Amino acid sequence: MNENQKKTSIAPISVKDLVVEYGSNPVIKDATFDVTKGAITYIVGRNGSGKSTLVSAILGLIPVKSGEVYLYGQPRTQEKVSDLFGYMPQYSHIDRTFPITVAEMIELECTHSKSCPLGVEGHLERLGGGYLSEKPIRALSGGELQKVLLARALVTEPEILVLDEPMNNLDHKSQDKLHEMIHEMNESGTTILIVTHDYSFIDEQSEEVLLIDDGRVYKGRLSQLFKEMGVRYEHN
Amino acid sequence: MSIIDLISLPFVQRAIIGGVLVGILAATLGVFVVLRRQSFLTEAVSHASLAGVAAALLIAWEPVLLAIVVAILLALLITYFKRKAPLESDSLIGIFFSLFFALGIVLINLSPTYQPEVMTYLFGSILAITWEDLIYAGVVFVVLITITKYLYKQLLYFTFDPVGAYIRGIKVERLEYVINILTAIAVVISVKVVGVILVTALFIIPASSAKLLAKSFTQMIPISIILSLLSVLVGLWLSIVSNLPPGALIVLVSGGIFLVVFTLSRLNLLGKSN
Repeated sequence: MNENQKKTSIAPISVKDLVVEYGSNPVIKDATFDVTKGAITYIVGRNGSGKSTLVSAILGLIPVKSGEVYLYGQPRTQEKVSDLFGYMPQYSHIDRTFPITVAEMIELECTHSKSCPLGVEGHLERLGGGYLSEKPIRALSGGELQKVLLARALVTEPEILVLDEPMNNLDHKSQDKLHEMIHEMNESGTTILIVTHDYSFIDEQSEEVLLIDDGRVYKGRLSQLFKEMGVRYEHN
Repeated sequence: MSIIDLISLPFVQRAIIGGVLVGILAATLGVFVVLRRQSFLTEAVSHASLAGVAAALLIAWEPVLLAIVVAILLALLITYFKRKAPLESDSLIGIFFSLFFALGIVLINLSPTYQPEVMTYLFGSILAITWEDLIYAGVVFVVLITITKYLYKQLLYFTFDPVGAYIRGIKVERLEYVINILTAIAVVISVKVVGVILVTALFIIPASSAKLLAKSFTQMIPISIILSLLSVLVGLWLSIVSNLPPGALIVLVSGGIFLVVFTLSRLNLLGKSN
């Protein structure tokens, strides 16, 4: 079986018995699940439930107490993360006072990526031409910054895309547009992991969610999980 | 005495060379210090390195060398504990800074005789800089600037977005040790110019002014260097003509530039939003 054939049959992300603690406080308790290849998987849960912590643990950004993360069946390493992932952080995690232009951001990403198929110019073009490229990030609107962060995450045309609260700070029109873009990328084969507290974009019958409740991670369809767990929820 | 006459004096020539080397070094690394919000690190290293100077004087060693050793040790400890202990870096810096400074005071008091070099170290002595000092500064300057240039893109990405840098395969933990060690060594070398008490200003003020002026990162380091050199040279000249302490005047000039830049930015006269 060659590398590509192996990839088609193995989950891009497998988490086994993962435990994450902050001090002595358990945040993720014994999580075991696979992320389905080529699917959009939402990570949901209440504020502070550990959604971003789970993503950080998957990516290797934080130490875990025990458990393993496998990428296409292989133990996760930083090199594999770098090869496979594109990551869009939460808007609030970016220091907007930092003196850096959009072009510099994209160039940095290309410089440190093994592949940058469109090149810096191509990515800037995809962002809507030159009008944003020389702007410092402090001069961008919230929506523009989200757009740039997404463009940066897509520089390598990653196999797995992780979006942390991508809908924050976007108006309804921009949210719809981003939702459409996410589905287009998914249709082209990208596995997408989305951290969100906003359930309104989730197709509760067909799309997979990882629901975090009291540190436990449950996988399934949203409506089914809420039904099983007896959790009442309202669309935002 | 004209400026030409001043420049022809050997001690002024040495002071200018030393000031330029340190000004460029502090302004360059200061950019990373300011953007990483690690200003207190420079304060801690400068004060802690006093322990190295005091120990060197006790055992008749070269003070700068032992100060560099202590500064590197402090940088390693702060970086290690920041990554391993659930404490904020400002608390860790405060802990180690106090410990090393206290050790320095104890060592100074163990010395049987008065040590004028300690006072020189505290307040700086750019006008008393020797050719030997310049050789040290020159070697350190070349090494640190070469490493910074080599790691420039990685340092930029790590400073801007450590998480993004990790995802793109940059060894962020190693890089954090490297930048903290580079900064620690640069601080010790810069102490000769303005002294332990004021050295932080050399790293922080020009870089902060540059942050207000720069639209992009590419602009920030050159602006920081220009403002730093302006402060060093004008401060030095004022010191010679007024017979006042050069270190303090360099910092005052730098502070004056910052206030002008800050005022212009508040009045929105810098035109940098687009």
